[in-house]
Amino acid sequence: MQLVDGDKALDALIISALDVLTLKDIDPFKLGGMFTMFNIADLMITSLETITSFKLDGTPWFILDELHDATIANTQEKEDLTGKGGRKLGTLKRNKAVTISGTNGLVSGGLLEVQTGGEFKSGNVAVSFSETLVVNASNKATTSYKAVGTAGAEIEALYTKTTDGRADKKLEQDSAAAAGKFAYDPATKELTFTTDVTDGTEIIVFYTRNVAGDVLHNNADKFSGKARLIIDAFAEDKCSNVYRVQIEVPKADFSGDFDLAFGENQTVHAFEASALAGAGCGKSGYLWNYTVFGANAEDAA
Amino acid sequence: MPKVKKICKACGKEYEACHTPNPNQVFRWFDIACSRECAAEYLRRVEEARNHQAANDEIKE
Repeated sequence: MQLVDGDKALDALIISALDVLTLKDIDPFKLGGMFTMFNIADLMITSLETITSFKLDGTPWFILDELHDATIANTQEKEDLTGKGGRKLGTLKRNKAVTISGTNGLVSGGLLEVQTGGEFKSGNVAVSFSETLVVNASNKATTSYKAVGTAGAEIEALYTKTTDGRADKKLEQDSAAAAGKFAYDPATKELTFTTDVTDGTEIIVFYTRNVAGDVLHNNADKFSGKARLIIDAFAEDKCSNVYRVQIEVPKADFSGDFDLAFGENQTVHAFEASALAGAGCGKSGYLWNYTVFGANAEDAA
Repeated sequence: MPKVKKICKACGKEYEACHTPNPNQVFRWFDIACSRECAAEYLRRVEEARNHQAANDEIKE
């Protein structure tokens, strides 16, 4: 009898415990995902996919999709609050800061815009051009492209070259060819010399040509800008379930410090930005938001 | 901007001119001559030479 009474007492205890732990105590946001009452969101980041950038007005700006690496560096200052004998009573925490940096394998036009504060413009642009030509038997040579500029002075400079390739004599453009002077006709792209520049003489010509292109001015009066960043990555848990990790930086203030190094190694495009609180006209205090969801998750209701 | 010594393409005199960028290729007389008058004279000669050349090319064709 005592044993039966004991079972009833145990049942009552279990029912009482279940009454205490009802569903209202569980965060509904965490139900159904990989988060439970315990945080088991330990993931291996398997692939860094893209960084997508939007202007602060919401307009898509650029996508970095050949990323070598990206880092989100988080800092916070802490000051110990001490009592008698210097014993630690607490800490004063402040100055949280986040720096986003990375390297893209391609030079990104959009990244150049945000780093310089400029904007690419499409259209006809004047570009400097130089080439080496050979004077033919008629004392003429033809430029590859039409030189533009002040009429009668389209060719900025022209030098004859010595046989060992050095610049020799400088010739001046004139209305007609003469000793030490040459004529140029933009319509035919023909340079005309007199007999002092003989057949087979190499010349080097400097001129400006017009071409359709995109140009970005790095204006000394304009500075690097701000953008909203979305960093997308793939991740896996220990059970090989695949997830997508999306880190949103609502307001990233880009640094204007960057190098474009040309030479024997690949030219990569590095960037650095500081996360700012106050996105959404000062309403948000979030420096970044880290979201994890199943790679093939259906739309939520 | 640096000043450069140039030779007037019309009268051959040396003159001083500012070397400033001209990205829109606006006509500036001081790029070619020491005065507006000389620039106009030089342009006249250039036009004449180019028209003459064009006429010769048409005859050849």
